[in-house]
Amino acid sequence: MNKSDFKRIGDNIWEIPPDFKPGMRVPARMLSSPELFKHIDDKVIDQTTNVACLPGIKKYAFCMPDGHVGYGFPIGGVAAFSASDGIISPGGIGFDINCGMRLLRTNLTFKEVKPKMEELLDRLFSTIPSGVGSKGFMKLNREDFNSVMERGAEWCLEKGYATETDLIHIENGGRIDNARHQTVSEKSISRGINQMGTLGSGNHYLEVEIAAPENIYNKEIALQYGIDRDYQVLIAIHCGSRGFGHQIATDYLQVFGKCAKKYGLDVRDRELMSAPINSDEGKKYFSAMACAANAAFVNRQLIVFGTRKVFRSVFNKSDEELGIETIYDVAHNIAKFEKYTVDGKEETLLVHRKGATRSFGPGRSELPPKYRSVGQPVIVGGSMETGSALLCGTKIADEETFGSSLHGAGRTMSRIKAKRTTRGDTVKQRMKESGILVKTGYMPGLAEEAAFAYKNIDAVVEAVDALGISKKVARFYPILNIKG
Amino acid sequence: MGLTEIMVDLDGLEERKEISFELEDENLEGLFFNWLSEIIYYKDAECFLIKQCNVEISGDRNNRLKATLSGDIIDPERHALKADVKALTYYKYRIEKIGDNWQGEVVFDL
Repeated sequence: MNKSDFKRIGDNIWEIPPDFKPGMRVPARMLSSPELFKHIDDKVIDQTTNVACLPGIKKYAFCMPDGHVGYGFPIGGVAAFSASDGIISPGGIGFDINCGMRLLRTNLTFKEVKPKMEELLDRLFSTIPSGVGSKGFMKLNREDFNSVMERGAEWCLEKGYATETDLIHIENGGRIDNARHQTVSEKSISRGINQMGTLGSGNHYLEVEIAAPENIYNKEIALQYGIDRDYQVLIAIHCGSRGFGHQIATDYLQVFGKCAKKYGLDVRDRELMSAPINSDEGKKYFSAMACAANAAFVNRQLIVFGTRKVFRSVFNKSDEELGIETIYDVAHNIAKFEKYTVDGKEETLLVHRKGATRSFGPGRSELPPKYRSVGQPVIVGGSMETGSALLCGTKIADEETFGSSLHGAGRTMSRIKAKRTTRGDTVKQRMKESGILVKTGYMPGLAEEAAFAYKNIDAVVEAVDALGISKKVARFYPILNIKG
Repeated sequence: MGLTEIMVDLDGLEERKEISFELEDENLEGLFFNWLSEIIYYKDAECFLIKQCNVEISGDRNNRLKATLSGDIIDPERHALKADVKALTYYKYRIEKIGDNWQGEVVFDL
């Protein structure tokens, strides 16, 4: 199986029909520019066509332009399943449940930040825990953590770690419903309870970025999102549910492995194990996933709390003067119940987004009031050398891709190969020469995260813009980055 | 030790703490998966990294395990920490007997 098995049916759309592989129920669709398509790994195609075999799948199994090999679903995989007779699969959500991005705007400009860059870097690195064994700066008791699991960012508001404006600008208000703490194991709680407010490691980071005027592609929408001055300073945070979510995924993969026979589910890939959404196991996993998703919203919010504290201290300004506000917070490893029209009939589907971002267009009631006229912010993280992109959701995404778009640049190279190609200190020096300061607890990790290990973020963004599923709003370039 | 070495330089680890547990699964393949997953669990739950282990496998299907682990509590001041392991995956997961020994291939999510 390889790329030549796909038929190009649109400028940036390739399709394999369902009769291609035994068991396929719908076509597989790769969304990609011709140039990106040439470099897609055959394993990604195999994974996407495996997803097309899952029971209850509707319309297509998608892979976004940043698609690359994952566990079960490809990363960049999107699939929607009938809520009445479809399945739920941890492989379609990921180990890092609700890994996502938070983007914040500030009233600061580069001119104000430049003289304090070293101090800001050191203070952020010492305040926001990262790396192996890192613990959050606050101790949560079990009652707190139950509340974190079930109420998500609302718990942060109650405790003074969030503003109301923060919550309005997080997907689902920072709380996924039907999260019951009884559906998660004691093991997962033990792994996660001390990790709230920590970044993790690998490709997780906190980055300070600049919005230069020449990189604002849609001034009107950028303004609506809060980007309102030249060389504005922004903050991007990329992390997820930490050990808590990872353990939940591990636990339920094993539960689903044991019940596959009971439900007559063919397991061609153990990472694609699933259960009927309406089964006891399926309902419990959704609830546990929701608990992890809520914890991830809390995790990012606590990092925001710590970040605001650092900025107040470094710049000797109040919160009001700094204006550090959430533009939006997106989940890119999650499953959500959403309504879509399939064959002329509106249905509730469980949309799995694995390394994919929701991309709701204008008019959606789920969006914050000030974004309803323009569409949802879609925050796309690139590598630490290349910064991020901000797009807006569209009606085309609502109609064509279950309201979904890409999430990042996508890896093109394994971590081992990246470390064999360069050294962390070389990357750090190169970044410094480009005006980017980086601090990490694990220097070889910088080699793993070098720009050449990722697809070109501008190429993947152009691909979704051309497809119309998200439209370019702005491009941001990093000046500071901290990672574990 | 391979798993630990992904996360920390082994040279800096001391034997300051001991953890014991028992595991059981349907077969050796499942048991080995649980064993590695348990080590990842202790890394987060107790900030514990394993230096030495004593493991006894028993059962008709080699499906029971008794382990005593000695290791260290994660300390960034003493340890050269590396990548964090999120989970063991089933991707390419296999173990097989070759002669008198067992050999396996595992992929961790970092």
